[in-house]
Amino acid sequence: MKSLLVVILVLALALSWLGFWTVLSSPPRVAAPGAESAGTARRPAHGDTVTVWVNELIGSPDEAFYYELADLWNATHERVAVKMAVMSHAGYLSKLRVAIASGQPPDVCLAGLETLESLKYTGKASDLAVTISEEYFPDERLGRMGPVVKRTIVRDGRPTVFPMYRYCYGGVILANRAMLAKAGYDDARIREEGWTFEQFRDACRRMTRDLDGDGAPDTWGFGAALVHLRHLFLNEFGPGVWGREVSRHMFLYQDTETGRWGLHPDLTEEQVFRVFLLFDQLLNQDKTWSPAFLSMNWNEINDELIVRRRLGMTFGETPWVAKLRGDVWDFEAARGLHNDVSPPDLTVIWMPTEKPGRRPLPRAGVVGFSVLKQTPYKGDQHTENALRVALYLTHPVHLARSQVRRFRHLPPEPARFAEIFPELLDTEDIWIRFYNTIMDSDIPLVQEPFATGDPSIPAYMALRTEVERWLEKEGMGFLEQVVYGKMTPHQAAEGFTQGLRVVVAEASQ
Amino acid sequence: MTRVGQRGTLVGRAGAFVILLFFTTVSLASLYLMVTSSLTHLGTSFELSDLDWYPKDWAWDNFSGFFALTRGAGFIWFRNSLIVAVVPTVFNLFFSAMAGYALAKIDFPGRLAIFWLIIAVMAVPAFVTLIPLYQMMFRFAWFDTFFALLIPRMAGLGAVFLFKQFMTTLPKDLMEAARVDGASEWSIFRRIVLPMARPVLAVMFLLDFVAAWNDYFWPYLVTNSKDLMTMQVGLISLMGVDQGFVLQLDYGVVMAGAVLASLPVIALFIALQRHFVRGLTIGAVKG
Repeated sequence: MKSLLVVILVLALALSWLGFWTVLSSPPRVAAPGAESAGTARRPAHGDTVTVWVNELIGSPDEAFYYELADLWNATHERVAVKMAVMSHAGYLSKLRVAIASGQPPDVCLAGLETLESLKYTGKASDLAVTISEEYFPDERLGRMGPVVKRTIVRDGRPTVFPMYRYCYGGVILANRAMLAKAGYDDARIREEGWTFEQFRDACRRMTRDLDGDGAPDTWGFGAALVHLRHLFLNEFGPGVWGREVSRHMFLYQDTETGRWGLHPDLTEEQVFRVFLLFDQLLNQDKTWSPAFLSMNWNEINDELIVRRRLGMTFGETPWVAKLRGDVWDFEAARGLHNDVSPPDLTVIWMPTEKPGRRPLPRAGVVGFSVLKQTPYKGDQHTENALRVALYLTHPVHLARSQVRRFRHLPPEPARFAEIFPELLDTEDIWIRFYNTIMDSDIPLVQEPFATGDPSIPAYMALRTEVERWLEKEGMGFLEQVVYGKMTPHQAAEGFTQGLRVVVAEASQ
Repeated sequence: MTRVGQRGTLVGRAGAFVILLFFTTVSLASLYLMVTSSLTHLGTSFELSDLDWYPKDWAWDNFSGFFALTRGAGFIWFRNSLIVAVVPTVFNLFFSAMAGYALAKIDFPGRLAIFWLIIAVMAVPAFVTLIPLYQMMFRFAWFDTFFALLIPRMAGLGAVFLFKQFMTTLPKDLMEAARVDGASEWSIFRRIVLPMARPVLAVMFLLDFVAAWNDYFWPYLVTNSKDLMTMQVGLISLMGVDQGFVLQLDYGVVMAGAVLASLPVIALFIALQRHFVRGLTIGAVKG
């Protein structure tokens, strides 16, 4: 009995010690110079606390930047404290999904609205992002951000995201301008008019060359990684064949009479075949896209384009990629890493389409801070405080210190930003202008947003989730079979279309 | 046994040996490559072709580089991992051994029902309980504290099952004799049952420790503070690509961190290897 008492006492002591330790780790403290701060300096004893989640590379300058921002807020605001949590990219969305599903998301988090909505529906949460009132986000400011930003953040007539930067993923090709010119194609003209699959294949063939006469190509026309296949199929080559409308809602279509969602009637097996055929032609017939690129990661492919110069064109993102690579090149050249090689002459052009005059579908949008609601609701005052914190985090002065400077992301309000920081943003720059062409256009988005009041959204999102799961597990397998020459485009198109029909039919019942 | 039968047995054994050799080689090769990579300056762009069977430059500085890269946080991660792995494991063994003993050797009403309830709950996938557990952490105000890392692991049904199965095999006469001599249940448990349960304690400690040490998702889920990061969470936070640009770190340094992270598990396995094989067969004993 005595021993039992001792054990119980030890247990109690251990738990108390842990409790004490835990409490010790959270009280206010001022960070030592040079040390990482937890964003809790000078936290008021009885004020409201707003939690902020950011995904960022741990150890990067931006991680420290976010904690500094929190410390600055805490040093200047007595009643409301910011508790900043910067966490790694790995697992961030899973963590956010669990938090949303359990009704305990952070007050403010960094994410795109597309991501949040997807998490919201897969996490079975509702009434998530707070719409931002005129007081915090004037209409005039929203108007300056362009139609793409507006469409991606507005719900129920009001914005739901404080934009941090605009992005564009896919839709464009990052190309070696000299190689393109040598192949007889003018990048400015392609930006102006677009180009067709046939022109693209022709350029690829001309760029794929045996320079040393050993019978094997030394340069390749096009290259993309395995991870890009899905995007190329769904959002670039695909819409180039079946059009924007089919892609707008991931092959789904709402019957206007019944309101029910189903497979888009305009999508045919023949269209899927033609898209698969293009992949087959590039990889297996023309052999202008080396299979070696499939197993590379994004950095390796960019090195092929920029450093090794064995690649003419690749899957591109926004012009900041090229600009940043230019900066990196200058930096490396200054260190003597590129003695005898001229700096890369890069350009950005549209992805091709089957017929002239069409445009591909870039995944364009905005990443920023959203204010989320918890269950039970913490009250209007708390929401107001969270809105103020989100507004503070996205102030142009703060943006200039973070993403925009590091990655040359484009800020949401280029004109205003250029006015304040002319050295950071030249709006006359050819790249910036092209980027703005995308952002200021009515270009369809990969995932077209909805008004939150639409009662069919849950049905659509559920169906879409099933389609995406199927694509992940089976659908893209057909494309991979084509890419690796294990299936003809005809066989793959047949299998893909049948599989898609079955999954949509089953899921929509 | 006939000659044909002997030959069949021999072929079977040879086949099993080849299969085991293959899996052993694959397992050891990955460990070996991790060690050689930790002693090589791999640079920031890491490819499979960079792996080599011997350390290219014996870069011992990768290990100090790991702590420099994490600005000393590596020590905190290591300490946290030790706490998160040891403390709940000890508690789990303690509680599970007591529960197993009670279910195996003490007659009380509903004993069988409790046992079958435990079996039934074991069939529930862990991810099903994730969201309720997460909510509990908030309601108890344990989110982002050590409590969230420790308390949920302090009792495990799998261990209760194993202990019950093991203790069923212990001769009841021993306990009866002790009771006749005036020993209390606690004394019987502590002086007779626990010493005899050493193999199952060892194997459960090892399995539980390794599971807790390697756990990534739960610690990542319920903590935000850097002070509470475990080794696994910390290591993964170093990896990652942001907008296509990898943080400027040497992968050899990360590999050094991985080697450090695997050392306690390897050391523990070597220390408890003696009990391990015997302990693993405990669940197979008919109760």
